[in-house]
Amino acid sequence: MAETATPARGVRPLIRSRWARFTMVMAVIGPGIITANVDNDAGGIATYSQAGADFGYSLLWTLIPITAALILVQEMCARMGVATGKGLADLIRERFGVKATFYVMLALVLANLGNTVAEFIGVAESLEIFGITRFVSVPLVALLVWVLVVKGTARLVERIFLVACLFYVAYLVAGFLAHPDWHEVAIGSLKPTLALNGPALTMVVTLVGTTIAPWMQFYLQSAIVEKGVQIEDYALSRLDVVIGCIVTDVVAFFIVLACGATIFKAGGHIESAKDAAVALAPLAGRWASTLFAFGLFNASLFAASILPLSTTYYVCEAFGWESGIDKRREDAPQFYILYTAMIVIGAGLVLIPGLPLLKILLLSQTANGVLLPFILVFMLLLAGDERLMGKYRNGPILNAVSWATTALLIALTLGMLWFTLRG
Amino acid sequence: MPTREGTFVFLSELLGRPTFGPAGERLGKVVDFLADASELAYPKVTALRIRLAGGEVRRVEWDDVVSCEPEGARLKRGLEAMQPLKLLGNEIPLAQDILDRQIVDTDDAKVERVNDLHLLRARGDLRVAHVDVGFRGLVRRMGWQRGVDAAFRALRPGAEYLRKDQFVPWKHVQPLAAGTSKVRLDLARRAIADVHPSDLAEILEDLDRRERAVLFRDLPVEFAANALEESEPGLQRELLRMVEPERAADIVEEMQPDAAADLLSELPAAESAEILAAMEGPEAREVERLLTYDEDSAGGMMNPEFLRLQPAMTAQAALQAVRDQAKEVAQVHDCFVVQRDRRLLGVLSLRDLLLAAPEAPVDAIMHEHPAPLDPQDRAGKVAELAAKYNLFSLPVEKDGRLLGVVTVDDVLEKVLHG
Repeated sequence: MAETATPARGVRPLIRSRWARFTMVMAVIGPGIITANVDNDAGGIATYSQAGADFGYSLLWTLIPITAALILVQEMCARMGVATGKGLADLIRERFGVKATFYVMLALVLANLGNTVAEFIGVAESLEIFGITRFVSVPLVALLVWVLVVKGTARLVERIFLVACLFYVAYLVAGFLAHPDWHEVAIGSLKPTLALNGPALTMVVTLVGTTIAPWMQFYLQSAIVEKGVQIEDYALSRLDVVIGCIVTDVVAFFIVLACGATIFKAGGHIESAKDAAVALAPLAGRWASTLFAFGLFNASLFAASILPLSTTYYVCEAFGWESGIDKRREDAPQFYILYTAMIVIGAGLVLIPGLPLLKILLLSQTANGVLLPFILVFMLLLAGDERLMGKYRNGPILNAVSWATTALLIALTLGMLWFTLRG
Repeated sequence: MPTREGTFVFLSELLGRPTFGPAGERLGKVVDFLADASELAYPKVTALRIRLAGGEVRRVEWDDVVSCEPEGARLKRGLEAMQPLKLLGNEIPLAQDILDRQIVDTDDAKVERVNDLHLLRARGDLRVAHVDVGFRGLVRRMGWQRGVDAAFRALRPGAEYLRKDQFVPWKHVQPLAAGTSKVRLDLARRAIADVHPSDLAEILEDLDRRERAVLFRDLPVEFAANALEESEPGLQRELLRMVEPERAADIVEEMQPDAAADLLSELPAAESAEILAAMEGPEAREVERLLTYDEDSAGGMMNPEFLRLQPAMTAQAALQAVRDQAKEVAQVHDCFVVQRDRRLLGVLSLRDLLLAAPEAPVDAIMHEHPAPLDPQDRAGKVAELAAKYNLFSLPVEKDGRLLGVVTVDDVLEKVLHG
């Protein structure tokens, strides 16, 4: 029966299968790259700019171990998503119960609300460089984000996001336009040096904290589950994660580079990503400055579209409320209320004159910092659970490396908290 | 305990409570309740799981329990009542497999997450009455019910929060944890039978992958086939991969051939070949023939099963023929009159047959079809023709022979979802 049937089915399945192969690749690739790129959001760009402006090339080397740690953590999330078919919020609820979930979600909402504020500040400041007042840009962008997600389809949204990832090239170009001394860059990237003083340590800790953020783990795992990636395709999914992490840190590298080659050399100091863009104009030319500002706008817009939505997803997932943009408003009230509130509050705070925005950002960074150790420990407990993960659980070596990395990250995070709270 | 007879208690009020021996000595904590899942409506708690001071978990039969209340559980015997852990075939551990997990509410055809369980005290037994999927259950689990209830009473006494508990009766609960006993699944599957296939497809879509597998693997073949027809291509692929090729073949055979061909064409060649090889000969050949057409063409959309009549039949005989064929055919609106060599002579609707005199021959009632299709015609053209002539179904012909029929619902789907 099998032989006689072969010729008849030969024709189309073959053509189809090549197409299917391509769509399969597209069906797996995406979550890792998008997550990692959103990581370079307004807060990230500000941190990298500051690292370059204040320390030149001397901290470039830290990006290599940071990338390794990011890959380690993200790979674990991707594997959990593929092996269990459940989001991280789901797994935490089922394993650790309602109370733990509630406090994790509360911290996550607060941290991400702070991050959302940071994104809208990024939107406001980047467009102010082009002479658009924030009282126009922020409400418009907030509305655009809301409409895109509520009215757009998941496929359209993901395509827009993938295109947004391409715009990060702006930072690579800005880095080249800054004409760095490549010899010095090579030394800074490969030779680990660290001054043991407050400012330098704080900078390193902030770099780590901004790169390995709690929300990413939830977002990545949910995105992979949502895509329905199967365990057979896991190799491709892992590749997606690794490429994403590397691309992200390459972009970070060029931001540090651009500011190191110009602002640091000229002895300048900056407080925000906008300062960096403005400072670049006389030092590296208008193009570099414009590209830098455009990059900031793109990153802020991108992250502002993802953070409120994804936060809403995990909260609904954890508490079993109907969620998803394909649901009608009266079927998923919690989803729409929380989502809209995140955007309205996030954008609204930026517009209130005289509000201490820097304090709010600091608070959100603190919430992130407090949350990360818990999330990492939960993740390691889940990823090592044989009943849950079966043969895809962490092996003894990976487990040891992961716990050691987690311990180091926790120490660094506590360090950051200590430094930030001390002022 | 007579005063509490017939009243309810929540699982969350009993979990983590101390366990005392006959002399009032403290033995450990209650960590789980095992219920006999073979009872459809109010399953009885058959045993407790107790965590001893040392950390190990033991089983205590319900017969050894004097009372189990929010104040604590009281046992007839001391440590000698503690037995090694075991799980009988029909027992479900409620805290482990139901609490905080997803279930299907088969009455409302919805996926819900369980916030609490509502237990009934009846004649010395504890029975599972409802699962709580509401907000109040969440508040209770946080330990804030008293405060939040008071706040609502003070601010909005008429609030829905106070009036309506969101409880699902246990008989409508389909548990989905991986270790769920066979017995329970068999009972609940009867309830699943009442769920509409497109609701079932939506439930499968809403579930997490593991729960999806538990539900889909044991669905009766015709439910599985119906749900699969209603599912998105990505989900179809995932579902078919969850089952053995033989079962996949059984399910695909049960589907309408055009839907089956669409589905197989989405699978990698090796997988669809495996399923085709495991299918019955005639069904496999029908699907294979459809597979040779592009899925967006008339050939790819057509269904090779349709109502066939012979020109010499009377209207009465034709009606009987429709009755005989109706079970195998997706739509019975239009009948196609064909010769032995499968040449299409004409069409007539069921309405024409009903209105005709019983003795009238079919070839006197039928009329020529205004828009027969070629297998290569695109979906857009098919939709235009259907709209222009107000057609419900269109025949697909090649070399003067009728191959199959495209119905307007297939076209709609293609035009809308491209």
